[in-house]
Amino acid sequence: MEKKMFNDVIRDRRDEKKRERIIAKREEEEANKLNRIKKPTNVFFNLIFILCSLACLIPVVFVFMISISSEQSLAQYGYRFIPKIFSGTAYQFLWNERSTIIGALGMSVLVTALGTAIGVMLTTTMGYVLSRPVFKLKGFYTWVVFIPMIFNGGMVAQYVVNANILGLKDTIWALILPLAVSSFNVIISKTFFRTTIPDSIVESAKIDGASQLNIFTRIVLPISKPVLATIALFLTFGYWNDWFQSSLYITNRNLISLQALLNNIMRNIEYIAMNPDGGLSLQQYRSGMPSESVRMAIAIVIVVPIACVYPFFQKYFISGLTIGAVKG
Amino acid sequence: MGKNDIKKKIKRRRWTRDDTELAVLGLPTFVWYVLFSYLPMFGLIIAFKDYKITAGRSFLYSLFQSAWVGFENFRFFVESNSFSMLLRNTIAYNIVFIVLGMIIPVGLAIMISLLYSKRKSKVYQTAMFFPHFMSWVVVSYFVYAFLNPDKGVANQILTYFGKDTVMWYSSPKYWPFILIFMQVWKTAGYSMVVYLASITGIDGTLYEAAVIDGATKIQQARYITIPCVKPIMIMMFILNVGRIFYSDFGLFYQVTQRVPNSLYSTVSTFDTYIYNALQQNVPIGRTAAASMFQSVACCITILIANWIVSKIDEDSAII
Amino acid sequence: MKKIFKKLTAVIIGTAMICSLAACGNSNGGTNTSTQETKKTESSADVGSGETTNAASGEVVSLKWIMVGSGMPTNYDDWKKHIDAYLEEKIGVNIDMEVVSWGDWDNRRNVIINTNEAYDILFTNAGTFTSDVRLGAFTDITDMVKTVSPELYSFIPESYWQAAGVNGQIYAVPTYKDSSRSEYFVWDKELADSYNIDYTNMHSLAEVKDAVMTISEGEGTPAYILHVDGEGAILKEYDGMGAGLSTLGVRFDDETRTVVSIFETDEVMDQLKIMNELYKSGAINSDAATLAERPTYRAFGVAQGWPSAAKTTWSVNLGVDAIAVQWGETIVSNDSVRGSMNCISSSSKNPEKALEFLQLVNTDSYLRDSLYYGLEGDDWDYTADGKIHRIKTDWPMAGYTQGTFFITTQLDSTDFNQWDEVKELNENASPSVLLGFDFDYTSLASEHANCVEIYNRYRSELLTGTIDPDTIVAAMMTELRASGFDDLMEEAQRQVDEAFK
Repeated sequence: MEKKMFNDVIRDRRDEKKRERIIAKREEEEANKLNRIKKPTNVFFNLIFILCSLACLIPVVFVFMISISSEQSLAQYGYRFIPKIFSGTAYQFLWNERSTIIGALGMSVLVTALGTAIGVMLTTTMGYVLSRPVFKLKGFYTWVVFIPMIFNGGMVAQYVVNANILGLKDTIWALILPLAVSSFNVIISKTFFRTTIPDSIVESAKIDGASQLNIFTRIVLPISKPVLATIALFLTFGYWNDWFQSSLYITNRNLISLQALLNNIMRNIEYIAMNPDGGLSLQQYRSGMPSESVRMAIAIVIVVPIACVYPFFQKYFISGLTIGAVKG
Repeated sequence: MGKNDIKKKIKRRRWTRDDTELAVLGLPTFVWYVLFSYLPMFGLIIAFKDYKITAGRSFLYSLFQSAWVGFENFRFFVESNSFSMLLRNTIAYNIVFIVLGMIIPVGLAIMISLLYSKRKSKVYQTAMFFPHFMSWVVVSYFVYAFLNPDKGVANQILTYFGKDTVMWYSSPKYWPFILIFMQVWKTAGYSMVVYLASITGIDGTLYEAAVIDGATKIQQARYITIPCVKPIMIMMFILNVGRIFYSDFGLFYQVTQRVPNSLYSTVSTFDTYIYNALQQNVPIGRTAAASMFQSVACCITILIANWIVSKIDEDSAII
Repeated sequence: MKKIFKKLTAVIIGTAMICSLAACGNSNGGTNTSTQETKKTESSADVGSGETTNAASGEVVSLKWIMVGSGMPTNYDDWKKHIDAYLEEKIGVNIDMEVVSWGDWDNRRNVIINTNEAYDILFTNAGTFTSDVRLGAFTDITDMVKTVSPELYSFIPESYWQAAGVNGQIYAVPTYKDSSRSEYFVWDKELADSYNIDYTNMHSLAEVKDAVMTISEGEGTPAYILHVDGEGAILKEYDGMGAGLSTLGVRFDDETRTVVSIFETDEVMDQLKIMNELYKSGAINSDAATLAERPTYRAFGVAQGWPSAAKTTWSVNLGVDAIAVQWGETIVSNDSVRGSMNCISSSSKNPEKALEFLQLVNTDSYLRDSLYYGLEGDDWDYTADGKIHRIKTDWPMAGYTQGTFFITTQLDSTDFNQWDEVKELNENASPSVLLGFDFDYTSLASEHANCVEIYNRYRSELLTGTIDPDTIVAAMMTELRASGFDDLMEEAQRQVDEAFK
């Protein structure tokens, strides 16, 4: 009986909040029209951003241009913005490897998705717990989170733990678990919760008999979309770009992620170029190695998928969610 | 109620059901920390030992059997003739990065939140994120293409305007600016996102009230936006200070094309020095010692920074 | 604030207590690892020395071999089954291969060695060999190799075994291939001919200097393209004693074994001056000291190899016909042999079987071909006249890491066996006077690290002739001396004298 009442209360609150939010949004739009920056300022800002965007995009375009230059023109004329001789061989090379590349792509997506989900859950729960002002273990947990930011055991010790003690070698979990939580993210989420969740909401829910878990999932999370999106974004990038874990733990071809695969292609060349000890018998592999244009093509292939994902997160930043539903 | 008062209150209170629930809620993450951060911490003693393998036994056994050498592994690092120069470089660059890393992204975030067109805003955001995706190795190719003394774009432009070409990789005086620019270029978009997320969370009614009181946009930014973003800024500041003895290896090593000798005193940092001194075949004790030095130094600075902040504004300190 | 301090002190004290508790058990640690190892080897050698090829006398042993290559083969499972059958019959083992990609090798090898992961055989090379031995990672096979694998022992010349050891104890099976070092001037044949260059009679840097300048002037671009590593070959006459610091060493044929400061010798100084002239005249590219990677083509260059490599490798890499002329003598030294070696883990449960296996790799053509080319029937096949026809060419294991090339079956695409040439070079090579000697600098570790750092800084500008040698060598030596270089030289000389008295 009590539980039913409690659920009703939650639902009513949610509807009320929604209604208030819609009203607030409309009012805000009205106010915005009055509160906008002046037109010339807007033009000026736009100019600044156009410049910044160009500065950020030109290198990418340049890299793309190199990837479609022929090896010859690179050797003769060096890097040029508009290649003297166009050639699609770099992409041809990658297309020939497509089965491995697509396999690795699938792996990357899987690891990223799983990792982000797990990471967000672990990070935000701890962030929320730390943001509660009156919690007996707060000091303890704060130290637990803080110390690893400064001290870590090093690559060798971590390998011993992950491979020998936990037995994660050559499994997908070696790629996911070690990267799931970073104290940096926990502190970001803690600060967000602290500053944007009014204590009053939590207090009133507690009075109504909600457990902390309920409060967290039903009240706090729905209104914390910006921070969830931020953490998810950071985690996604972290997982997508990681190749180091693969280089240490993975031998099985099927478990190689995209970054690891493509990075390998790039670093294989470096290894051969920088190891005179191997003598000529090592240098024989040189001619089989992909060229500069291929390396640039690889850089493009790494960048493009993740760039496409970003707009998905964007809507949580720009939509102008207002929170102040319950005041006082 | 000040933070200390709250702490005292917590100490005196009894354990409530709430506390249990919160403790349980944080438990999975706590377990993660134990397994992946605290368990490997036995690695900290590697710095103080001369690690030798005991045949047929596990790593831990070998480690504990190895000789205890105190601070011997730290000597190469601390006694190096370049130590004060490395210290100066590492800290100075980081201070500039931290300061610029706060002003520029916050400024950009405020500006982007004020644009009329949300759609354009999104486009700019996506564009400005690209540098973050590119690894320093790829960036170094691009920079090299630009600064190459023979065929680089920069020298081509200079000759076009009738000036002398510059041997970029042999002229130290330009590099602080080049490196700072590259760092800002790479990280501005990323940091801007964090601040933007905070700005979009600011209560719109505050702005309404300000408008009614006749505040200009600049005043609004000064009295509403910035104070609301302040906690995040302070948190980022403290976190970055906590990394002040580390440097971004990719930036200082790859972009400078492996720190040629002429640029040595201008662009070397602890991390490039360690990399050069300790190539592959070095006992793990020394690399561990170098990291430990950096860790301890950072620990001290972050605690000091946190303490200073807590004196000014208790709530903002992260500990 | 007091609370923070209290908490921090508690944490630190706690950690320190745990550590000291753990460490106090070994106050006299630093045991002599070689005695530990020999003890273990003796006991296991006693058990294993009797058996050779009789598989029926025990269960099949599984060995693990970790090496570098392009990655795991796609048909690995089939290949393993096929090879296991063959191996079981021959010596009663099964083999488990782990092929680590080139790019991952450094990190992975580092953790494998340091955490003493379970493996039997590990590919090793010069850069890490001595420190791995000092770490106690490898089994001492000095006695074992003569009793368990006598064929292998006689197959590889004595001097090469010396190089595969540290302080008289053998720790590795060297890969007998182009294990001596011969440097060649490699010319773009057509181009050199067009300038009437008499390259076959030019055997020193001084002799080639004018020719290289002529080509550069004529073509209008640098002929001799170098990158950040510079031209290390000018130091080839000096044995670096495994110190990892190219500024000190002993001349390979110096019977007095005097440790010298290499860059201050007249010989090297002259070479550096020639490089500087080449640089100033534009024959060497002006961005040599900052160029990260050399382009595949260059009109003139120096490379290590053997005469017919001009046809088989250099022409292919350069994209034009190349001609090679030897520069200096063929020298066998520690570094040249250690380019590829295989070591047995000190924690291996079957070191003698592992050694037997390595012997088989170096003596059995079929096994060698299977490792080098892949799965018979899938990747390659024998032709009617006893050569090999390659069906697929993407086999990712690296041949040079596995074993000798001298027993591999010739490919049907070549009509001469370049390995015969290599063998001849090896057999006629001049051994360095310091074969088998390694400088143990652990007592001067920080001086060493600092000197290495200084040298690595100067290296690119030094070895590319970018800066006037007198200036740059003087500057570098001043810095080195300020970091204890003289102490290193003294200690090295002392060790050399003691080892060879």
